[in-house]
Amino acid sequence: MNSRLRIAETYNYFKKRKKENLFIGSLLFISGAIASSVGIIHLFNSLLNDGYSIYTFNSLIADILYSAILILPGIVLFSIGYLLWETHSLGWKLSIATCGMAALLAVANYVNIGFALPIGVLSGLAAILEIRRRRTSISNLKDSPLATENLAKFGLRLSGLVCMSILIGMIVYITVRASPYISWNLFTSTNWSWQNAAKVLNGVSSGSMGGLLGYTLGSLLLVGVCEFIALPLGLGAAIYLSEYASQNKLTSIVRFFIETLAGIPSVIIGLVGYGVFVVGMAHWGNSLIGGGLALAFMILPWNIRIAEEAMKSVPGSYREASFALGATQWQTVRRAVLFAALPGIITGVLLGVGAALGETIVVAMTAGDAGGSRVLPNLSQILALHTNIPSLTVFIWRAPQLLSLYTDHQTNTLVFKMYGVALAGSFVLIVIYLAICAIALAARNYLNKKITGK
Amino acid sequence: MNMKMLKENIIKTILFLCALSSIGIVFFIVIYMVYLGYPVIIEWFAHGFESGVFNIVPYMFGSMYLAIGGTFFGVAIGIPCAIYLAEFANSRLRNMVKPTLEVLNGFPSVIIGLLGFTLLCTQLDRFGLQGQLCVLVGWIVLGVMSLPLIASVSEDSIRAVPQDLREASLGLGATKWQTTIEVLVPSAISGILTSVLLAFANAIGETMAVLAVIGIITPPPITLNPLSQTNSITALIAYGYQETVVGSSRYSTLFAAGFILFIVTALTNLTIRTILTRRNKIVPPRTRSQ
Repeated sequence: MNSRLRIAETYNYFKKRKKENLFIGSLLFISGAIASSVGIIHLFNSLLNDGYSIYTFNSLIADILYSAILILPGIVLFSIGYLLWETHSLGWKLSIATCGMAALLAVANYVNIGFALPIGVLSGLAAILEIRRRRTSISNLKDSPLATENLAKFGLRLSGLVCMSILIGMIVYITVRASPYISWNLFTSTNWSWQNAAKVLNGVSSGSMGGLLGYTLGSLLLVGVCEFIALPLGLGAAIYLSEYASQNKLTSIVRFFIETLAGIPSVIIGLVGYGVFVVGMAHWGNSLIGGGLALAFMILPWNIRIAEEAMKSVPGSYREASFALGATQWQTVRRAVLFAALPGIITGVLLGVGAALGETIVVAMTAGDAGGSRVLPNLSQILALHTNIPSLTVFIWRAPQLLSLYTDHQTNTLVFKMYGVALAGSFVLIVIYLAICAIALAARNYLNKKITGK
Repeated sequence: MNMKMLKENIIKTILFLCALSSIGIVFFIVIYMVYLGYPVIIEWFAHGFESGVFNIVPYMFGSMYLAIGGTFFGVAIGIPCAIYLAEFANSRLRNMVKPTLEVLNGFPSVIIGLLGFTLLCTQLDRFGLQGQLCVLVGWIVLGVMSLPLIASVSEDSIRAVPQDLREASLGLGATKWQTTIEVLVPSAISGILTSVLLAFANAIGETMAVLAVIGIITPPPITLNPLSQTNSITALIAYGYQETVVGSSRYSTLFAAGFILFIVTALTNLTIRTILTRRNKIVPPRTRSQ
């Protein structure tokens, strides 16, 4: 009711001022049209151009992005002009936005001064006129809240969509770029050799490059060892902090140190792990145990936080009911609290596993580089010290460098292909990571439903 | 009965030791770094960071500049996203964006760095920018890395603002946007600040994502030009550890650099803690379900 009244008022007010609106709107309209036409011409040119030989897919993406940068402000100017024609209230904020758009367009078009000039002049003029009009017009009528509201809502929604499109865009890009190298073999066979891969890239030998199963298993083993240490330790600490400890100086100190541990950059943990396990006191060399321990230091605070939060959100009545039945504290924790907190704990721990799987520098410093080992060592070797454990993340990091060791002369095409191989490794990692995330999120939904009984 | 008590006590002790383990780990890491890096650390703290065997100042500048710009990029998208998720989004979109943020939060940083290189670094000249590996791409990559953290922590703090404040503001005739900007964001400001500082601490310690895109040059120039190449403390450690002889002064330099990095992140964490405890003193914490 109220908002409808306000719309009517605004509409009546601006109906009287239609002439100025029309004029400024047309200015913006024209400059918007010129601006978008530049982008559209650029887009057509790039789509029709068949001169690409290398970097084809990349340059196509870049062209589309560039055209979008040219077209989008044009469309915004266009729609602002349209709104003015429809005699909507815009206010000085939008005038400044218009100025900004004009500046952006002028910058994007600086190579093409013939286009930049009219756009800049027209939209600048429109903005100046709009600002002057706002100043001279009745100042007690503020900018219509509705226009600001809608604009704000639009901007906010856009930022939400940007978050989603970043993730989806990355996944799609990796899939497309890695597609020449993706095969069933990549997931299932363990015979990866850099020499062979470089030969295949060069076209010297045909056939498949081999698979990354060795690297995948290495990554999973490392995370397994890491959680074997970090999960009991983290759960124990979380149970103590949320169920046993009272709020005093000691627990607040413990919490502070947990946060500090969480804040320690992974490269420091890797460096200390390198110093202690690989070359330092223990002198283990690269090993599964060292890598797993270093990863466990990294993932421990995450586990504690997740488990503590999950247990804190269990209602107090569960505990009281259990105590009333005569259970001891430990029985209460084990049977009532842990059970109710299970969905949260499982989800959080699985997400932590995903994060540990993507950890590179700690693994590279403690568990070994990707160069030396090509296949997964057998079981007795894995558990021994001084063994390089291959892992996917280090594979991705090192792939272009290691491939270039086995090629004599590097053309742009070859470098492009090398990064394609690295992206194929990323594809394998992402498939595993997304699967873990999907299981985690599905488990939360399923268990939440099951436990709450809805 | 006595056996039961004994068992309880044993379990309690074990759990307490678990809780103490992280203190032990932190102390171990710090002491180990100081133990191996003390010649260099003492020199730095006694004669200034530019003196001694290694001039760390350009690297500190590079790390700071990268982290500040990256956090800025993260804030620019993350906080509007948080506001949208907390106040404006319908449940369907919320249920789509929330999991996306959770997935993006643990996304392997090495892949983000790789994409930053193949998608941005090689294409910058198409946008009229001269330069391939540069700080600008580092900012964008770090922005993507810090985005989910900023968005989710800020969203939680905005949602935790008591419902009464919203209703009071709406009751006074403010629109939803005015309520958000003038009531909700100021009352959730400590949470938002926390998220930004957390993102900053993460960004300054980020290694893999920036390694591929900033064009490691030694020593990095101290310049504000976002199209120049640079270097960071994390990259110094990540590329330096294999090339140094164990026990050499260069080896201690790595640990000393790690110690500096640790001090910066620890100070950031301390600031976050101070902000949060002050907030809790002023406004008693309330649960969301009220």
